[in-house]
Amino acid sequence: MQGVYLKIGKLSSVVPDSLRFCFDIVSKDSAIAGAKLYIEEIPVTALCKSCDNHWTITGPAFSCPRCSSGKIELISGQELNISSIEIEDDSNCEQSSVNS
Amino acid sequence: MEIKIVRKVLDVNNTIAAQNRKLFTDEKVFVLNVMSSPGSGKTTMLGKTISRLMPDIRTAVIVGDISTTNDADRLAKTGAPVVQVNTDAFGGDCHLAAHVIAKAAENFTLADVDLLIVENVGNLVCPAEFDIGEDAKVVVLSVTEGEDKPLKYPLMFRVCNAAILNKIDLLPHLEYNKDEAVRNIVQIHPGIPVFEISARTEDGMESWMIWLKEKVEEKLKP
Repeated sequence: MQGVYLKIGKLSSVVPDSLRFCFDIVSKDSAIAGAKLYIEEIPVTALCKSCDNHWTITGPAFSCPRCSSGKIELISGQELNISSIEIEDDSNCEQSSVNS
Repeated sequence: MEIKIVRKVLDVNNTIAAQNRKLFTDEKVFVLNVMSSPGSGKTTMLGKTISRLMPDIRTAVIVGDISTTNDADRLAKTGAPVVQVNTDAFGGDCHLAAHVIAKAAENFTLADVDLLIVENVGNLVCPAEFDIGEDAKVVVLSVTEGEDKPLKYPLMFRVCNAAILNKIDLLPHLEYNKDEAVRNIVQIHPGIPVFEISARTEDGMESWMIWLKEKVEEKLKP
């Protein structure tokens, strides 16, 4: 395995640096030694159910900046997903997608 | 060659949580996940809550702690059946996960339980991430902690359905800005009910009991 691609939301309780640190330790001397970890940090975005405003939340405030409504829905920011893995190209393999 | 996986890391936990949720719905058990930092008064609050609920609402408890059975022993005095999980002499998990709850629930005859209270490990970080199949999540904060606690732990306060501000009997001895604390909770989670109580004196418990009983009775309706 050459790489693992993760999507980690900013509101999740996972710290990318710590994850990287642990991944290097755990993967060393294993079947995936040398694999790189690619982390896409997903911002916290929200939709206001009162006025349809769509914005990015950057601080500890969860109400609509346009109309102050508290009726909001978080659209992104809590992900902890493996989006894909990168493996060595083998000329006998066909391209494939695996969805779980 | 890139292989798309698109899989949530917490998939396994979420799948088990969904199984738990189905079991607790089939057996008509309301599950309350109670979380807080260590020392907020969760166990005392739960002891008083259970005493007020029993015997009309048949309550069972799962207690999570890194070490000791102290909390389980205290809550057992209410007469409710209590199971302690995660106890090892010197170390256990920092949160309760769905599979742990599934196993612990096997200790109860669910047909004889209306309300299952899960007293989670004292920790404002990890428990917020783990769905255990509960119907409601509650966070307990006390007036001996900083007013800005909610701002420091936004995920916890966002995922909870209610917040309890405990130890209000100590307010005359503290320079605590209660209004600021409540404002901060509401800033993170607009509309969340905040119950200001003293578990020790039982001041303010009525509103909390009404909220909880309504939720339990709603689920238990035939």
